[in-house]
This record gives sequence, C-alpha cells and structure tokens, in this order.
Amino acid sequence: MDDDLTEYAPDIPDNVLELIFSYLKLQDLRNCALVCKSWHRFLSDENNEVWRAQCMQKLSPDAFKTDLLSVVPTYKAKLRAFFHAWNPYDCSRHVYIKPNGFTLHRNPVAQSTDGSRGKIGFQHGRHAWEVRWEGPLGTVAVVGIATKDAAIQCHGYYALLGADDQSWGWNLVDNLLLHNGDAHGIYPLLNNAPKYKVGERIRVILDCDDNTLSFEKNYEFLGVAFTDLPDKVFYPTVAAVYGNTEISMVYLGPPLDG
Amino acid sequence: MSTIKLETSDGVKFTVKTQVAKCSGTIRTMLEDIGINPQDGEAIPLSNVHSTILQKILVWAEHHVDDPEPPRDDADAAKRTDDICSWDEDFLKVDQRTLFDVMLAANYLDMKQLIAVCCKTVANMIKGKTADQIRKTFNIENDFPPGDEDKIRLRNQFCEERR
Repeated sequence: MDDDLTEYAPDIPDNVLELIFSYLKLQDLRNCALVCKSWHRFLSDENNEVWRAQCMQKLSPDAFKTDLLSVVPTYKAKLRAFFHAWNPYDCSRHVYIKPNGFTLHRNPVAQSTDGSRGKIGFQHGRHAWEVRWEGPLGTVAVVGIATKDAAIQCHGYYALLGADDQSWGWNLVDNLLLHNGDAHGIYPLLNNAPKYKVGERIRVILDCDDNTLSFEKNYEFLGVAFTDLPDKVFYPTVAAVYGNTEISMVYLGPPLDG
Repeated sequence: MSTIKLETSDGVKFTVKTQVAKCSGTIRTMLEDIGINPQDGEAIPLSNVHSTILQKILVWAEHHVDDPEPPRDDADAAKRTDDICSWDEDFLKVDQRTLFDVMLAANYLDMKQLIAVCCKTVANMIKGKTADQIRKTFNIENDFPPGDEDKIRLRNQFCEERR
C-alpha cells in the first residue's frame, strides 16, 4: 500500500497545486518549496497566482500607484521587497512610514537628525537595494548601513550615519564617505563628481562575503566605498535632516554582476 | 426524473439523475454545448475516473445537489481552511490515496466545490509542518540534488513571516 502512494502527491496538476497553495501562509509556502523538485518548480514561478495573492494580501494598493516597484518585476520580488522595507518600529520618532510601506516621511522638526533602518539585516551573502530621495536633501543626507547598535536619531543637523563605529555612510550632499565620525575621502573618486539630484536612484550593494559596501547611481557602478567591514548584521539605513523630505527603499535581492 | 448513464475507466456503467451529474462542469458542457443526447441511452465515457471513485463522488454530488451557488471569493483576501462543513469532513475521512483520487477526479470533472474542499483538506495537512514532515505525510521523495535545499532556503528567507 505504501508503494502505491509513492509519487502520488507530486503528480498533482498545476491548477490543483495552485489551489492547495492558495490556502497556505507564507511560512508554509517556504516549506513547500523545499519538499520536492515539482513543488519547487511551481513555486519558482514568481508571477503565478499564489504569489500574486500573497503580494496583494500584504502590500497596500498605494504601493502600486507609482513606479516605485517597477525595479522588482515579479509579485514574489515585490513581496520580498516589502518584507525588507523600512521598519516602522526601528526609525526615529520624527519619521513615519507612508501607507505604501516603502517610503519614509521625515516630519519638519527643528534641530534633529532622523534615520531609519530596514526590517531585515544581513550577515551573509550579497544584497542590493535601491534608495531614492523624493524630496530635498538639506544639509545632510546619508545613505548606507548600520548595525542595531547605531543611533537612529540625534540632536542637531549631523551626519548621524557614519558618526560612530556601528555605521557606514555616503553623504550625498558633499560626496563624502563617513565612518566612526571621520571622513573617509571623496566618493566617487572623480574630480568634481556630480552631486545627487532628487529622484535619482542610488543602488547600495552590500557584499557580506567580501565585507565591502559599494554604490551605484543611475545604474553606474561608482566603485567600492568601504572594505574590511566587520562580521556583523547590517541593516539598510539612511539619515536625513530636511523637513517633510521623503526617502524610498526597495530591496532588490542579490546584485546582478556586470 | 431524467437520468443519464456514465461509464467509468473500468467499464462500469452508472445511471445517474441528470441534475446530480450536472454538478460536474465537464458533464454539463458535454450535455449542453457538445449536444450529447442522454435519451439515446448512450453512456458518457469518463475515461479518467475509476468506478470506486465515481461512486464516492456521486454520494457527494447527491448530498450537495441543491446547494446554492457559493459567494464569489475575494481573490485577494486570505483564504480560510477552517470552514469545511462537518458532512464534508466526514466524507473525506478516507485514506490518502482515495483523497487524492477524489481530488484529481473532481478536477477532471470540474466540480469546483469538491476540489476546493479536497484542497483545503490537503492544505490543512501541510500547515505548520516542516518540509521533511510534509514529505513523510504524503510519502514524497526528496529529489533535490545535494546543496539545492540550502540555496532555496536562502532565497526564501524573507518568508519567515512577522507581524
């Protein structure tokens, strides 16, 4: 009798698999993808009805109103980006996350520097995410990474990200790299490199295997910014000072080479 | 009351009330669109369904024949699996092979409510289990080449759902 059951479940046609999976939660789907090749193949289609439904259940309709998520084409990738987005419980009290789930808004508060971390930190593998300032930079606008131990808010207008040994940042206002309170040189390494313009896409590339942090601007690789990062859990982080400025972050997954 | 004949893969003929047979979208289409005329006394061939399974499915159809059309699901809402009626629950207390055979036959016969209730039952058998426990439950062979599972696990790390 047992023999009769072998290969029984894997023979389920895709439309029935789809229905079974549509009743499951994300954690169960993760386990299902590890059951056998056939189930994994079905769940590898990141645009199928199962991922679409999961995506629609979790993401706000606001997330689809702009081109924000156009860099993550599949439903599963959009869902993943949402799980990596700004953490409403790990940002400055002067910051709130907009209903789209991906954009932070800094309230107009005088004499304060305000940051936010992403929900998920990284210690292994290679990761890329896109950061976009949707409003003015002000005098300090830093994009980079931080551990959980780095401060996320401070008094005054200050390059908070890069101010201690727990954070690494690139100040877009003056093109300086910052870590442990020190300027680590001009970045990118060009004479009179153009400054960031509002709306441009910055891609942050964290390589936990090589312990490096790099950036791209408008799809152009700008070189390695930081090397010899310690073996810690790093979170996508920004720090901003300008009132009502907005910053979006979309996690992309492992960076594409070349 | 009008009846029609159905013939299963193993050559068994069933005489069934037309209304009950029409719980199957596939049979409905055969009768209405393709114009098979049941008065001829000719049996409709169901080449993918064994008589033991058809017998069971007819019991289900007989019980549910007067059910109202179910409300349309909101495709984007999380779907429930705890709303299986107790009659269906008892009906599907069968060995796994039969459960899957009924599910696949219901799929072939296009019986949406029966497929749904089978899929909910299977989903309930999956919920909360690890991949290994799921394989044991359904007797599925782990056919991944070594190393693949780690890669897949890494890719789906974000699925650790948080509230």
